[in-house]
Amino acid sequence: MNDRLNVPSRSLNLLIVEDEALIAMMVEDALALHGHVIVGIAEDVASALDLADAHHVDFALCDVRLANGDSGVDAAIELGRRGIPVVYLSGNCPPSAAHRLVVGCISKPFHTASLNASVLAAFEIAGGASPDLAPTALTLYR
Amino acid sequence: MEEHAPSQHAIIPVEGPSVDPDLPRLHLKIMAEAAERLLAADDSARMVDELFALIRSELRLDVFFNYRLEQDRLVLEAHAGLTEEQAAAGAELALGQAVCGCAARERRRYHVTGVQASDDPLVAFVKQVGLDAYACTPLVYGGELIGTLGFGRRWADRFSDDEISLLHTLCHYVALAKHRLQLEQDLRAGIEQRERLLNELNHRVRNALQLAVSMVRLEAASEADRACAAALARVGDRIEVIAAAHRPIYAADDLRTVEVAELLRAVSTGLKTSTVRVIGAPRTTLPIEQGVAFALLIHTILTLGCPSGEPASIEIVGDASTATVDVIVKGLNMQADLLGGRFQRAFLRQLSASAASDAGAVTITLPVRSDER
Repeated sequence: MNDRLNVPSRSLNLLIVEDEALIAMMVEDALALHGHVIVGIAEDVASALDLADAHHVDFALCDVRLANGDSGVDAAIELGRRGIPVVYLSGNCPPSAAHRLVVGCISKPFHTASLNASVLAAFEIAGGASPDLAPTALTLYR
Repeated sequence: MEEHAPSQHAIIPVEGPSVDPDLPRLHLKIMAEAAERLLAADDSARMVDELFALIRSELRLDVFFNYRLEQDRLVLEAHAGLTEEQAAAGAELALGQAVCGCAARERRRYHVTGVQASDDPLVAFVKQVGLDAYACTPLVYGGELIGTLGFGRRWADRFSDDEISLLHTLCHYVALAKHRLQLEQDLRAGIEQRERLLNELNHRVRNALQLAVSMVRLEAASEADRACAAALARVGDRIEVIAAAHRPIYAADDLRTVEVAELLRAVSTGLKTSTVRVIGAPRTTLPIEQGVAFALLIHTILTLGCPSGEPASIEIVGDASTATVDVIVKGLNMQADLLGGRFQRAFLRQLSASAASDAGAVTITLPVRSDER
C-alpha cells in the first residue's frame, strides 16, 4: 500500500507526548529502531514544554488527551509556537489543526510498521514538501 | 374561565375607548398568523414577545407576563409593558402567590376585573403595575404545567367574552409551541450526550487496542528467545490487523456491512508491498461480523506468501453471472502452505468461502453481495 517510505530516511530528534506509558514506550522503540533520537517522553503540557525547551526537538508526536486533564491540542499549539512540527497520535483525531505546524493525525490504533513513514513524511510536509508524500496512515490537516 | 371578582370589588363599566366592534371578525386572522409564527418559533421567550407584538394593538393590550415553571416557583421568562422595577418586583412568584401563582397552582384560568378598585391582596401586584383588567391562563400540556401567560389592560376594567376566548386559544397554542421547543431541546441534549458517550467509548476501545499492541510489542522486544519473540510479533501483527479491520467500520454509513476493498486497503496498510485493485465489483461488501475473519485470512496469506516483503497485489473480481466474488492475491511465494493452516481453514469456514492456489496466486471465492448485482 501507500505506506512505503516515500521520503529519504533520516534521523530526527523526536519528542513523544503521551500519557499511556506502554504506548509511549512502544512508539519510542518503533522510532528508535529507525535511527531517531527520542529526546524524551512527556505526559502533560508542562513536561512537554520543559523537554522542548531543554533539547533540540525536530518533531513531536502528541496524544490528544494527556495526564492531569491536559489537552494535547494545547501542547501542540505551544510546540508549534516554538517552531516544532507536530502530529497528533490519537484515538479521536481532532477535526482540524490548532496551529499551522500541526501537520496531521495518526489514528490509534496504528500500524507500528507504518509509524516511521508517517513521521518522516509529516516532517517533510511541515517543511514545505508535497502533501502527496503522506502515507495512508497519516491524515493531513492541510 | 373563572370570573374572579376580588372582595370589595366594585364593578366598573367599561369607559374610555371601546373595544373594536369588528374584533371578533379579526380573531380567525389573528389565530392563523399566531399559529404560523408559533409553529416556526425556535426561542421560547422571543416567541411570546412576537405573539404579543402581533396581538397588542388588535386587542388593545398594555402588558403581558409569561412565567416559566421551575420546580415549585414561577420565573418571569418574558414580559412587555412593564418598567424595569415592575419586572424585577414580579421576577418570581410562588405557586399561589398573586393571580398567576393562583392560576398555576389551581391550573385554572383567571379573569380579574376592576383591579384598580380592589383591595384584594391577590391583585395587589397587578394593581401596582396599573392594570385594571387582567387575564391569566396556566400553560398546560398533557397534564403537565409549563408556566402561565397573562395579559392586562390599563384602559379598561375587563375583557369581553370573545377576547377572553381568543386569549385562551392563543395561550393553548403557546403551550403547544413551548412543549415542542422543550421536546426539541431535550432531544438535542439527548443526542449530544449520546455523541459524547459514543466518542468516549470509541476513544477507550481504540486506546485499549493500542495498549494491547504496545504490550505485546514490548514483550516481543524484550524476549531473548527468538521463536518466542517471533510468535509475540505475530500476535502484535494480528491485533493490528483486527484494529485495522475495524477502521472502515467507523467510517461506514451502513453498520451492517463493510466494503471489501476498504477492508483490504486498511489491512494492507503497514505491509510494504501489497496493492489493491478492484475489477468489476466496485462495491462488494461483507457482513460486518465477517470483516475481521476476512482481514486476518488475507493478512495470513500475505505474510506467509511474502515472507521478505515481495511485491504482491490483490484483485477483487466480480462476475455478474455468479453470486460470488473472487479475491485474488498475486505475486505469492508458494513454498509455504498458504491455505492449509488451522487459522486459514477456520477463517474460510467462518466466511463460507472456498480457496484455490495456482502459479503464485491464491483465489478466495466469497459468497458476498455486490451492489452492482
